Amino acid sequence: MWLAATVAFVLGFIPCLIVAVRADAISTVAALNLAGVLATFALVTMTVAFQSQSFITLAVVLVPVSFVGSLAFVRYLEGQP
Amino acid sequence: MRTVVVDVFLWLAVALSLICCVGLLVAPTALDRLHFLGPSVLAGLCLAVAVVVQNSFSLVGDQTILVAVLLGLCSPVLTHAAARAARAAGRGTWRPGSDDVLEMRRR
Repeated sequence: MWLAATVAFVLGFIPCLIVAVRADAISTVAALNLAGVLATFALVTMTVAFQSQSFITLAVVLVPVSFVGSLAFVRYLEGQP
Repeated sequence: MRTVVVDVFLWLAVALSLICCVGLLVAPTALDRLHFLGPSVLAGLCLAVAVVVQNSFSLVGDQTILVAVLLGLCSPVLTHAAARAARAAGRGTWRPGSDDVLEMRRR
């Protein structure tokens, strides 16, 4: 059950990748943000699926790191004409 | 009963996340796409409920709640910053200009 949910979350990367490749820069930031959220969810479900607590620690770290990374891109794009 | 609750909240989180992905793909403009980042916070809450019902308030359950809270704090800030950057990229500044004031008076 939890492993199937992990697969579903990972499949969500495909639309994010398509948007990141084909759309404009702000849409790429939106796709990057959603991909970070999906990766976090996949790590949480993997924690329960494999009964391994190291994945949940990765998820806790990934959320602020993904936030700061996306914010850096946004700050860069804000200065672009 | 517990299994049913876990299944419902887990697949609700999956469905919300996939709806966000499809919305991101089909939305026509960047500002429309930013709207589809909001339901992912709700998906995080559903996932946290599923994990807490499954594992109770253990280390995994508590950290999942922390993940949901962090997502709830970070995601709206990033969405707002991206929308501001989109506006600034098109106009040079995100602050309201004279044309905005004229439009507000017209309304």
